[in-house]
Amino acid sequence: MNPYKILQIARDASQQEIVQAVALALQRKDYSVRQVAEAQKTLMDPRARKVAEFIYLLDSQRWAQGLSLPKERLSLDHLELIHCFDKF
Amino acid sequence: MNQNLQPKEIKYSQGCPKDDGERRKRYRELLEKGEKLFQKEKFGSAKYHFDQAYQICPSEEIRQRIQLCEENAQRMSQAQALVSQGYQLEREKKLESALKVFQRSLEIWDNKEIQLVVARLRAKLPKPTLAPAYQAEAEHRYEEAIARYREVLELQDNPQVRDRLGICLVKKGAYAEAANILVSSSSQEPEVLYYTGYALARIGRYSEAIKRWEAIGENVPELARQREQLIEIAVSDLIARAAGEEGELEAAYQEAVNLLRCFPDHPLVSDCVRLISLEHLEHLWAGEKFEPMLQFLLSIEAERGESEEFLPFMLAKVYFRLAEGSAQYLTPAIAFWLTVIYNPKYQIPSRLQAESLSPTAAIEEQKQLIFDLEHKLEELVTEYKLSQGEESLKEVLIHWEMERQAIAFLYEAAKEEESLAEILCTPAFAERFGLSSLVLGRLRTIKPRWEQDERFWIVGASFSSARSSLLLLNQGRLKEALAALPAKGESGDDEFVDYCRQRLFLRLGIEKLRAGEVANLKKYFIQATPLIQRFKKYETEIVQLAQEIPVDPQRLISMDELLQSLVRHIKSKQLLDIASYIMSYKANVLHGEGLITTQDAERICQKALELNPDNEFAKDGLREMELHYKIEDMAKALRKGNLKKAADIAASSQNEEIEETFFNLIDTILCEFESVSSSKEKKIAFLEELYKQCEKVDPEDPVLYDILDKMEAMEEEDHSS
Repeated sequence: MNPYKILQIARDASQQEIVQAVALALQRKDYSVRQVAEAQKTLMDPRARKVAEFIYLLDSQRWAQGLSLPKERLSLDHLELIHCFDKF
Repeated sequence: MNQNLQPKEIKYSQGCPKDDGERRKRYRELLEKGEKLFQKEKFGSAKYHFDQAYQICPSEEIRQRIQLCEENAQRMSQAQALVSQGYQLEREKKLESALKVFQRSLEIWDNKEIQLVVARLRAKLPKPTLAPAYQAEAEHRYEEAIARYREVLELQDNPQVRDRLGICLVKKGAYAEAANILVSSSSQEPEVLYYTGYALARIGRYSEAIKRWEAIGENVPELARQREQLIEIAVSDLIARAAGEEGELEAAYQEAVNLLRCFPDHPLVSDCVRLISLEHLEHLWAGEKFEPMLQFLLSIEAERGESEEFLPFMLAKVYFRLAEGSAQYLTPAIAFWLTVIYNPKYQIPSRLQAESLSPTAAIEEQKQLIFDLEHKLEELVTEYKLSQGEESLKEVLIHWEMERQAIAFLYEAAKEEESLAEILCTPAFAERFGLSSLVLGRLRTIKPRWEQDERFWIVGASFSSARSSLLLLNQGRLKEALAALPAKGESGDDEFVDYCRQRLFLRLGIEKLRAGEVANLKKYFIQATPLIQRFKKYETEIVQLAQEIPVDPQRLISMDELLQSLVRHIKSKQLLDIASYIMSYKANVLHGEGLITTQDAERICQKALELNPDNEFAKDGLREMELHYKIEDMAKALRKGNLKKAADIAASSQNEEIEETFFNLIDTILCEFESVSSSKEKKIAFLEELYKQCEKVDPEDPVLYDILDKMEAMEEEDHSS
């Protein structure tokens, strides 16, 4: 089970945030107490957390680093007709 | 009826109304009548019937029908008004105006009768020419030019005129219509191509635009600049679209891919495609849409697999998640997962590094993570093994073992040979991405250090063209493995194919031996000789097999032949010992069964002793043969009446068995003695000689008393007579 999904927390959630998320998850009752406890245990243990991170988070942004792309949307109005091919 | 105004087929609510048979019947009648009137374009009456039906049973379909009746009636009325006006103008001889009015009416409501009127009027009017259109275009009066071109086209279609119309529309800014007209042009004129491209660019069909511009073929700096400008605009637009509404993402991605097909090496375009792909993947992942995500990744693989570094990483993750739900994804999950967790290119950047830990600690943490992640996959495999049974999962389990062994070996070897770290992957992964030759090349560089370790060969074979054969061999499917074995010199990886061949032949030989199929057995083992020579475990396996050989002459002969041919190439002690043993054992068994002579048995045992001078079994055998010879000589001497020679053999042997045999033979002679017809003196003399010789062998043997008894009896007989 995805502990991030169970506790509805972000990848970089602190220990305090995890504890708070556990309380909320128990209130929501979307998952059993055992599943919530298991999720908390996983995320509190740095080693288990790294494994869960690898399995359950896609981490797509690491592959977007270093891409050279325009910062803003450019308008097509900047595209002016050129007339070197005109017959008339 | 104008086809554009045909309503969609209406499926009236089934069974409506349900309650009353009479009302139901009326409802149906109203609908049918309304439909007939609608088809006859009597929209007012049709509407009346649909209204009645709607009152009985309101439905969205009927409501739409009523609305369509109203719209059609209105259009028809407008068209009819124009037709009346047209006829009036014609009567006033204003033919050009009348034509225009009739044409407008046709645009509103198509009508065959009016079409004929239009044709008739056109024939009466002078035909429009292109000159005014050209002039208007040359003077940048595009609206007029467009109108003139349209007039000409109405009379007769002409591709060149259509192109001009399209170009004028572009110049006027009507890009969508222009694109619509120009895309169907087959002209390769630079002007037409440029304007077509421009129109397409302005409506967001960037890749098509670029293709048109590329087709111009001329090296025009202005166009090259504009092309770059368009790419930049396109990229910014596609990125914005992808980040916008959900439905736009896929369309933007497709357009970006099309653009990439035009410019496979353009960094901006490839970065754009990558960014949109990643956004799409993140979106699918967040929604746990793993199957569509896999399909998307597979399409990326098919399109540009080699250039997208994130592909194996994403495939590993998605296959793992899919494998959590179904065993059918285990095989690819194993290949991708193991590659991604071992290969430093895909590993999670160590957080400990960020926390200023030493490099050693960071490496240790990375190793731990590899172990944990591998363990997670192993847990999954084990779960399926337990739930589905080992037999049904056999193929996956073999695949798992091979993949894991290969990557673990490469990982270990990479500690010494850094260049291996870059290509860390499993055999299945390498095969999928065409990396096998590269891995084999790197493996060869470490051969001097590792060739005595069989893992080197196993891993090499699993990356070689013999991979599928090895997989089958490991599954015990030997005949299929043999069929799958590539021919020599086929792929430039002969040394690893040879290794696989040797393993296969050894296994085939052992299987045949176990099954008692002894024909052509030797050839399998001879093929495997280099393998047996190189790795002791195979030699030990053969030795154990030989030790278990049943006492069957034919199988002993085969085993002996096999071992003899092996020891010709492999002079190891354990192999020489077992070959010697089997040879002497064979001699013993065959001699015991009377299948070979003593001389042959002796010769075989001597040969066995040449292989292993300490072979006690052979020595015993030879001793047996010696005894046998002495007994034979002794018996022969007795048969010839040479008592002395027989006694000398027995006396000198110092062997109880020979002595016993000797006395047994003497006993037989004594039994037959009575029946011998000879003189008494001769008989006594014979008995005296017999006694003398027997005494030499054993003075205490009871036979001596028997001889004495015989002698006394004869003497007494003599006295009494």
